[in-house]
Amino acid sequence: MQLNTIPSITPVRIRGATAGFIFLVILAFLPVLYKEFSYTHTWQFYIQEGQKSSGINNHVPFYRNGFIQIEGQTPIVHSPSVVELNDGNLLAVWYGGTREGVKDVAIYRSIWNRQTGEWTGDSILTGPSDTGEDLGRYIRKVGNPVLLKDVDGKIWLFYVSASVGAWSGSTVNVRTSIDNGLHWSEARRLVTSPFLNLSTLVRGAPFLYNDGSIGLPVYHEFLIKFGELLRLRTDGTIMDKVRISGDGTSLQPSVVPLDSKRGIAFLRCNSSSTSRVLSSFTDDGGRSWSEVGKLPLPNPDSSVMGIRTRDGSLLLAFNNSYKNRDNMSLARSVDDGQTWEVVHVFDDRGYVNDGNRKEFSYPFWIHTRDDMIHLVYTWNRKRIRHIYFNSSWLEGL
Amino acid sequence: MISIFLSRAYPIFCYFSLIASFTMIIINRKWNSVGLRIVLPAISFTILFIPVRGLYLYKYFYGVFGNLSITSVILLLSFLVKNISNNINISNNRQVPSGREKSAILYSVAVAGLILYPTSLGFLPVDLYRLGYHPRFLLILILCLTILAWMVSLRFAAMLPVIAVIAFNLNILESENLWDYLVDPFIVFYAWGWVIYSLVKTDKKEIMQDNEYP
Repeated sequence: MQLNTIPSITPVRIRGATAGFIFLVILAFLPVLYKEFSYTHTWQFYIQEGQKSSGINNHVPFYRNGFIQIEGQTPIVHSPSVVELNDGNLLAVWYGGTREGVKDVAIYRSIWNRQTGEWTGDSILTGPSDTGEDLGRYIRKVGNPVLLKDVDGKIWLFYVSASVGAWSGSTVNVRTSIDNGLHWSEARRLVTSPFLNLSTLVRGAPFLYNDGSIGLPVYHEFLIKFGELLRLRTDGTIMDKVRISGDGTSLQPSVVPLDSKRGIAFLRCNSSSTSRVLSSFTDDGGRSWSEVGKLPLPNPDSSVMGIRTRDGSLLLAFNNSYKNRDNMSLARSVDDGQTWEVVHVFDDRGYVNDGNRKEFSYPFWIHTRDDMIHLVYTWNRKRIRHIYFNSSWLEGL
Repeated sequence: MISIFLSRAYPIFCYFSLIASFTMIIINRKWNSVGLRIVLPAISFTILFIPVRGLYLYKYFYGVFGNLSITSVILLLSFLVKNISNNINISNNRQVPSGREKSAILYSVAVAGLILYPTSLGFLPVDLYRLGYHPRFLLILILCLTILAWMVSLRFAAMLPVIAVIAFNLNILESENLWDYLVDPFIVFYAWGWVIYSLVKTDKKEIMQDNEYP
């Protein structure tokens, strides 16, 4: 009796289990496969054309320099970034504290009033404690903030944080503001590496794609150094990740779209033997990148930043030295990065009172709607330099 | 709503299962106490909420190591359940996971880690981690392997990726990359160690057999 019943029960049980398995497989795979196959994205850079304003900005050469933050507010400051707000004012951010990488280092902000030409309202935007609270984890240090305004006027702040170790253990976080930087969303962490999410840092200026998505140049420092491009959806989630370079010595990419498909990435060189600004090209909107090449411009292992002016020429802010960061120079290319000419020195070499060399580093610039170019950079790690000029001044160089 | 709750609770769940499993291994070696095994989960859970400089202990773990993969958490939980109940059985008196299933899972994880980490960390020019953000090809591959595993009666092994993909749909981890739901460095290193140990053990056995029967 027992022998007869066992074979009749077993197949029914197996079929039941298999049916349950099939149900779960459909439940798991169908929605995500449908989403994946119904979703496409094009690789077309967003190029802002025109918008030149009338008035003195375009006809009379204009050049002005100054500083952003109050001197001595924090013992060290570094790595500034700037964005044009919806009202035409500027928002600048940088990190400052007693020394780099310690717990009291925070991201500071200041607002530049377009009418008065003055920076006011220096205050802490975020630090390790509130970032850690938002992320539900311990955060030891923060740094390298960069800003972007999207097509809807939303301001994006990307910055790195680390829980332990050096900067190579960093991850990228994002906050957004819909009211010109008055209030910010909770910090959200971008997961960009399968190995404990270690070592993705941001420094280059983010840019936009035609569909409103964001291109965020980042770099990897753990074991091997290389640049990457993250593509983020309009809700800030990661859509794709592309490697810019894989030679092990290039980092901190600054991506400049040339047209909807072509673009150039400038990279800092971490090799003592090369010591030149590195570059890579794309002709498919950043989906793939050429082998890294050397530009005829020196690089003392320091961040560089490129920008495209409305007349189509390329500008590069860089340290014109093989060894030191003791000058901040301007190079220009009128043939999409093939040849370069050093046309100006913003800050020159010199010594401070204690005998140490001055340091001018980590440039970041934007082209505003009134056709002004605003450049900010670290000035001797004590202050943030702010220089702005118009096209007429540039044409006269 | 459920997804937000699960994503907030998941780190606690990860480190609860990890700490409880580690302490279970120690208990198993030192003491054979049923009572300890039962109170162990409660102790492990409490440890996570010890305040250290104003932060719960688990937040330090989470800060440094991030989330564990779904695969890791399920394996750790199955280990815990097995040890607490001492011998949990399902139909056909099969242990969960069986030795064959454990081999299949760990060999798969070892291979996944072997192709994922060298490529994503820059040792090779391609980046396979990228496939996890747009996982259409990865999903098809996993689906095929899942069905294959079920067909050869590796049911537990077949269910692991299914649960991982369901978790991926619900955005339970902070990552938007499918790879992070499938593997993490902890399980990859464990799998590599286990595979090497198994291969060495097999080699030794074969050598001994060769010596016995020349």
